[in-house]
Amino acid sequence: MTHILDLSLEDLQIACNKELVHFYNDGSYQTQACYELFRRALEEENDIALTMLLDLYNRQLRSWVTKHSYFWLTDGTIDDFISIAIAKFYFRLRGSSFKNFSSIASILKYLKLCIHSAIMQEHRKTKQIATSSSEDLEYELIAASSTSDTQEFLDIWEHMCLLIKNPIDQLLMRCAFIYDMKPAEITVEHPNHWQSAREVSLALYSIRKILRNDSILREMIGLSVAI
Amino acid sequence: MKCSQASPLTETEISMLLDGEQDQRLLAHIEHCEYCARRLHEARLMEVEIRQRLDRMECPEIEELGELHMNLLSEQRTEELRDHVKTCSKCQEDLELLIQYLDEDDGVTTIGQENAKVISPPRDYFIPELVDTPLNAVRGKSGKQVRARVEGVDLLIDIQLSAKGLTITGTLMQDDAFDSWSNSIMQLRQAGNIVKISPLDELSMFYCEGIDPGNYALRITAEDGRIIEIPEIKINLDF
Repeated sequence: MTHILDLSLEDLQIACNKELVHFYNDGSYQTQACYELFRRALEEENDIALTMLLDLYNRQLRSWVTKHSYFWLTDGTIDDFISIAIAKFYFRLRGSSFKNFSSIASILKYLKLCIHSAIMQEHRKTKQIATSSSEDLEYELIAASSTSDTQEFLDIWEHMCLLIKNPIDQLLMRCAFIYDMKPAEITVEHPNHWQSAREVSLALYSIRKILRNDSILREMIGLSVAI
Repeated sequence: MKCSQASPLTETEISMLLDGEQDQRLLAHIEHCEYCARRLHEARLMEVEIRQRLDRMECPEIEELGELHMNLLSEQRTEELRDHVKTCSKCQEDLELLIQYLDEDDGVTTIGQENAKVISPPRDYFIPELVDTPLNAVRGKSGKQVRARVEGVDLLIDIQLSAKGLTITGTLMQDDAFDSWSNSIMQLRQAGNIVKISPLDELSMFYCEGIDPGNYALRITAEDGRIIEIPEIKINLDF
């Protein structure tokens, strides 16, 4: 009997297809051929094996995309999300990283995770309407996250930390501006620093005053006119 | 402009309103005083701008949250992320959604549902114009070159005949050296099906062999979601 490792790619493709047909028809779960095809595609970085797998799992991938509740809220196509997911999947699991995945189930779970990530990534990029806590004011936000933005917000945060040097104040600034926590939540999380919501508001007032009066920060965030 | 009430709101009171304080006296003041309403508006604008830019600054990528769920991270990173998730309501929601999605039934959806979506190109979706058509740029008898340019990226594709049939070698050259396409994959498609796939290497190059002559769509997808697509490229040696 031929060992699975000795099979050609074409034979593995046929065997994996049979395994999938059995799985879809009667739920039987033989996975050696499919696993070996994944191993060659990822651990051995074989492009032909990768192409075969995308063909074999195309139906499953499309199903994962269309079943994702956020897919319908984005502008991306099914093929876009599959392509992005494959890029993520390949570059994270190729080479020696593949050794962390000892079963088809774990590989497919990661692939599904990449589909989820591709869709959520696009969802985050799309326009979001953020309604402020006040009823009469609405602000339209573009939530974008890309490599250049990462540097931008690091620069802004570093500058804010230069303005607000006290570590406790920096903690408060982090809670309020990065984690978007309300004063009451901050007191629950850090009762040793602030005992009441009013105390948080008072501390935030001092921080806001310094931030609002800094022309460099205003320029960094695109507000050039001083209040 | 001046405050129309007895005295303008203090900075602390403005700060309280920014924090969502529902104090009726303060709200009434804002309702009747244009000056203080404007002060609050400007303060809120700054607040919103800062929050928008710092939004999720310290949050991990979704894949990493998934890796946390799948126990694929180192002990140290697991501990760091667990601490983060404890205090970050957005990551808690993300993790919950992710777990729900990963654990749901994997039955295959019936075909047809996917047609219900109105499709438009997402952001970062680049369709280049071919600078030279395949018929124009001849590189000797055994091959030819296709060139395209889009969004600061030059794409050169050499088509050659080898013992294994037609081969293509592609190179992406970016104007911005930091805007890398190296973690990307190239796909050749026909009638919507992927017929060849090739990851780009560290030099943003790809290579693909054994291609049948014909018309293809060529797509390069970066893992951050950027896509370059040539909707139709003739892969053959016709001049």
